[in-house]
Amino acid sequence: MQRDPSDYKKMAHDPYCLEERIISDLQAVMKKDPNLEEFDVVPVTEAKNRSPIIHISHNLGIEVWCVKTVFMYCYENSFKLDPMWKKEYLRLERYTRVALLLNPNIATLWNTRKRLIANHLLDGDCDFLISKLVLSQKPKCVEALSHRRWLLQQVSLDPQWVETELSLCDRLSSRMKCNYHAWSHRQWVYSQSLKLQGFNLNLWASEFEISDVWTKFHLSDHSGWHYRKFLLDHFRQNLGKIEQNMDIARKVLGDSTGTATSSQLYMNLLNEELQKNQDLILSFNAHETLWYYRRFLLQAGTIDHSESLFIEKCCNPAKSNCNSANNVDAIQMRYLEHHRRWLSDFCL
Amino acid sequence: MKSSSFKLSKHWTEEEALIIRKLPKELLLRVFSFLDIVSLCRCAQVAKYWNILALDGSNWQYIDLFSFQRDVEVVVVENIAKRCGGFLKQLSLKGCQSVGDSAMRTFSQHCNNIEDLNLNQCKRITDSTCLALSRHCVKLQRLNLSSCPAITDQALKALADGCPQLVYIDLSWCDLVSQNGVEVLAKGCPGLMTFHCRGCILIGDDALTHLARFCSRLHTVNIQGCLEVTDVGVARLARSCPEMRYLCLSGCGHLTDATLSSLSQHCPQLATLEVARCSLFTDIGFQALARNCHLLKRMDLEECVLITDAALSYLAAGCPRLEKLSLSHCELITDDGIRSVGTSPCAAEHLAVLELDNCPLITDAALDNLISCHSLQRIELYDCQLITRAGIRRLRSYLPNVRVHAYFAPVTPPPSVGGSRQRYCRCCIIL
Repeated sequence: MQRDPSDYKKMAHDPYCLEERIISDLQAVMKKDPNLEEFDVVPVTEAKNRSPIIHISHNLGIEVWCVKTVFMYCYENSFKLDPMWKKEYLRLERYTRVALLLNPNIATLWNTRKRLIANHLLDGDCDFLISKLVLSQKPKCVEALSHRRWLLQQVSLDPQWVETELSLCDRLSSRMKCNYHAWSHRQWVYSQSLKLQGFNLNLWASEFEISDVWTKFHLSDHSGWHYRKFLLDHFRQNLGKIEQNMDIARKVLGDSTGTATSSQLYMNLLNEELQKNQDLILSFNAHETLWYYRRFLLQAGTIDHSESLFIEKCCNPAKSNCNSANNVDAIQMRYLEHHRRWLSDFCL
Repeated sequence: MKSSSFKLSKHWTEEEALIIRKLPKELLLRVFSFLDIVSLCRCAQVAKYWNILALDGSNWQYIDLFSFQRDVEVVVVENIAKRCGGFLKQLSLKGCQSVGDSAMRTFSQHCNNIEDLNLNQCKRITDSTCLALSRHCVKLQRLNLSSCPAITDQALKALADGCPQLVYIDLSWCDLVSQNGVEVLAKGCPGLMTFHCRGCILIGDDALTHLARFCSRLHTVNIQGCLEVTDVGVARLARSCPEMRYLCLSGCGHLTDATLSSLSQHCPQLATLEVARCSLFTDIGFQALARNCHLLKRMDLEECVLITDAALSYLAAGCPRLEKLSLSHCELITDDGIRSVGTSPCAAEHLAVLELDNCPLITDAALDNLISCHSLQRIELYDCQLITRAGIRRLRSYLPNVRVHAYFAPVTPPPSVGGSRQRYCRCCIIL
């Protein structure tokens, strides 16, 4: 028998039906193993009278045949039940949980859960697990990330939370390239930790190091470079605090030249970055991100005539390759032209 | 023109207002008594007179605040107590976690005639609530204290002293309650008929012995998860409570067949028996049970892993009224056992629910034996991996209204073939 969508609305609540059973199976696994790592839909072809919930070494799977029916059931019921109708909040929690696991892009359902949590009908811990599982399947799911941010603001945080969130961001950005949402989540986590604990040079340095490695391997990822810019900005905003701990700062940044002031330290950093950037631009053709980052560095530091020397340097190897009429070089030339124009505008 | 319409409407409202004035107060109160508490609160905001009528204590004899559990504050309970006074007979504060002892003290001072009080999950309640109840509420008959973890034996002593009319008490998950408290309670309230103490881990054979000694009218007992209980305690309880109709022993893992045979000897009225996870029960025990307890209607045998088809054939022969039978995780059950249940003389009439999930030996042949059970409403087959879609379809063709639950996707019917084209072909044949 086929169920047309309106059927789900009419369906009376039957606590023993297939969908309910699968939901309870899923819930049992999530309760039994709070350290679940990943969630995904498993393709199977054979039809067997066996639970479609698969649980293998902290990984959760659901067989594909039941996804449609379970999702429709949960979705319809989530909208049918009123979050303020307190007798039914437990059912509502079940349905929104499964519906969101199967399709996390429904902001309304995340908001339903927020309402339940805000009314103290629901504990926030479970939502951390759900959003983590969702993100393991869909690393770019912005709804899950924003729900996580909301949760972090609501519930009492354990001291490990920064570490957990940063490692989550690591995982997300490596799972899917150019993951803007993961990087902006990282920014939020970093700023939030500043707000709660004050500026921590060690955290800054480790983040700076991580972003160094990341950007080296992902030259074209705007978000990664943007995060680096964000970190440098933060360094500049906290020069006063760094000034008070120059010894530590020198040690953390591996500066052995005996820099006296924090602003000098900052300039050194910028120059180092500029040098690295120059090497990258010269060795890898046509990455617009590098040029953008360079402009930021120039803007943050000082521009002197060495920049025109750099432009010269870029032109020369390009000219020598001109004969091969390489397409990539044409793009590189265009970026160079942009840069030159920007430079003249900026100096004006 | 304007003025006349104004006059008309004014006249009209006056007349309506007269209706509420015309009737005597008793009748008006009678009208109001049909409203639920939400409507009453709305009415109370209409006018002064309505307020008096709506908040009259006689309308507030039965109050269930479960839907407002998160909003009920201490003041609410105190105000209700003051307003209702002696009128209040039944109050449910289930899940009202902010309610504490002070509110309940005020409550028991004002509402002396309370008969039925539900304090399920009022986690702040302690013994002093029960002290207050025992001092002021002599008429208390039914008390639900489940999931109030602060309750101790002191509370039971107080109840035994002050509330001798108690017939129903629920102490589930009050895990500080021990046999001493139960002893005093049983002595003080000999009329006790219903006793629930799910998950009270301190309760063992001694407590059951005391219950058996003093409360011979018990007919509903639930000791799910009281791990200390053994055959001795249940045997004593069975011997002195011949009217036992409902007994839940789920999770009491020490019980053996001796329990079942003593139930069989002394409790012929037994209608519901839940023995989930009593994994020492064997066929012999159920043979004894089926010999005398012919009125059994509902049985939960989940995870009684030792029982085989023999137990089912005894039950099929001895318990003709069986309506609901749960055999989940009984892994030795085969098609033969289901055949004896399905083809037993009265199964056709009564059997409504059959739970067979996680019985790995069940095959489609078992379903074929159930086709004569016309009352069957629901059958659970989750994780019975030898069951096929074809078997379920066959059962459905005999029993179209049965709800068969298995891990199979809802079947989509074959796409309907374009009707017009078919007709065209038939035309061709005719021509």
